[in-house]
Amino acid sequence: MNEFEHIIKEYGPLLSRVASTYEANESLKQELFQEICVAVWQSLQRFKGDASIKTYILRVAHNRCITHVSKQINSIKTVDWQESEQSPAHEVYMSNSQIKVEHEVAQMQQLTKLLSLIRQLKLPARQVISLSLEGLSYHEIAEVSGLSANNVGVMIKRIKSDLNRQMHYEQ
Amino acid sequence: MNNDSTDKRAESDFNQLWQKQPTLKVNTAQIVKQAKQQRVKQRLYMALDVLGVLPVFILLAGDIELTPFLKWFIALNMLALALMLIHIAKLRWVAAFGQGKTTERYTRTLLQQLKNNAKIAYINKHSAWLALLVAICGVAINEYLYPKATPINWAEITLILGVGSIVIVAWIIWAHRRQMRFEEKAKELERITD
Repeated sequence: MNEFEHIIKEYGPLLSRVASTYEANESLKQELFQEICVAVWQSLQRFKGDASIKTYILRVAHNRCITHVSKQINSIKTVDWQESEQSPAHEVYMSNSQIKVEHEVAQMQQLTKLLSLIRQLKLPARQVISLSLEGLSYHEIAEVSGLSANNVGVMIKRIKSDLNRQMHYEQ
Repeated sequence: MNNDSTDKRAESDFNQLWQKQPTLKVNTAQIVKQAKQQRVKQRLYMALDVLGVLPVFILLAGDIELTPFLKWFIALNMLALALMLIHIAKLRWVAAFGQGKTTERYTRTLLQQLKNNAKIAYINKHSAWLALLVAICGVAINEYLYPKATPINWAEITLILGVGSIVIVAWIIWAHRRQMRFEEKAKELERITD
């Protein structure tokens, strides 16, 4: 297995979640995920080892997403999350037992709502919270985003508190 | 204390929920193929950018009969073209190799590029009628400095000016739309990153 395959095997799900942070439309998300993988392959040749490979590919992935967002301005508007995110929950509903399904549907709705709220955030906040949810430290997030670690800490606290309030607002 | 534990529980719930996202799969062989094709394309575009101006350099360096004034005139235009070429090369370089920067720096570069593109579109818009004006003046000055024995063909000049005007109007509309598009993109990117 070569280096790229190894990286995709290890970090593929992480990169897929980065794509989800910026794109709700399923086909555009798949397209963006592929673009991220292409950018990672191209950037690996310039990786000098001055950061961890994880933070390096996260930088590349988020930068690719920023380009994607800037290209989407004035072109196809992202499909409303409610429209595009209903299908997975529906598929689960069709294939599992009733009790399990109800639980999974509830969880899927929560996830859909969380993703929708995150996608409404401004880009730096969106990046910081998604990296935090991936378990990166303040220092690592600062390394990817270019913000100071202190600033990252303040942002995360504020965003999580807002998300918490909004997630439970309708319940 | 109570608020702290509620926050920590919510945080852990978010993390768990986040990790439960369905993830996408990718064919690595296909990605490598796509990436290699893109690399070839990027190199080809860069080569084409440079090769595109070569014929004019050959024209300038060659033995083609041009008056000294016209040679200077074309040389000045070539300088402007060379500056544009450097800017385009820079844009291509950032698109191809600038992905490893921090997102804050990358976003700033992207925003600057959008603003620069809007400026270039603005310059393009006005350069069209200005180029026609400069060309007319150039030919007139050249005629004045190096008068030819042959009389001026007014029909030919009218035809050139007519076709030129139509092309210029289309060019101005295209450049104006391009300028508006880049300005809106820059404004929106500024808004969502602010």
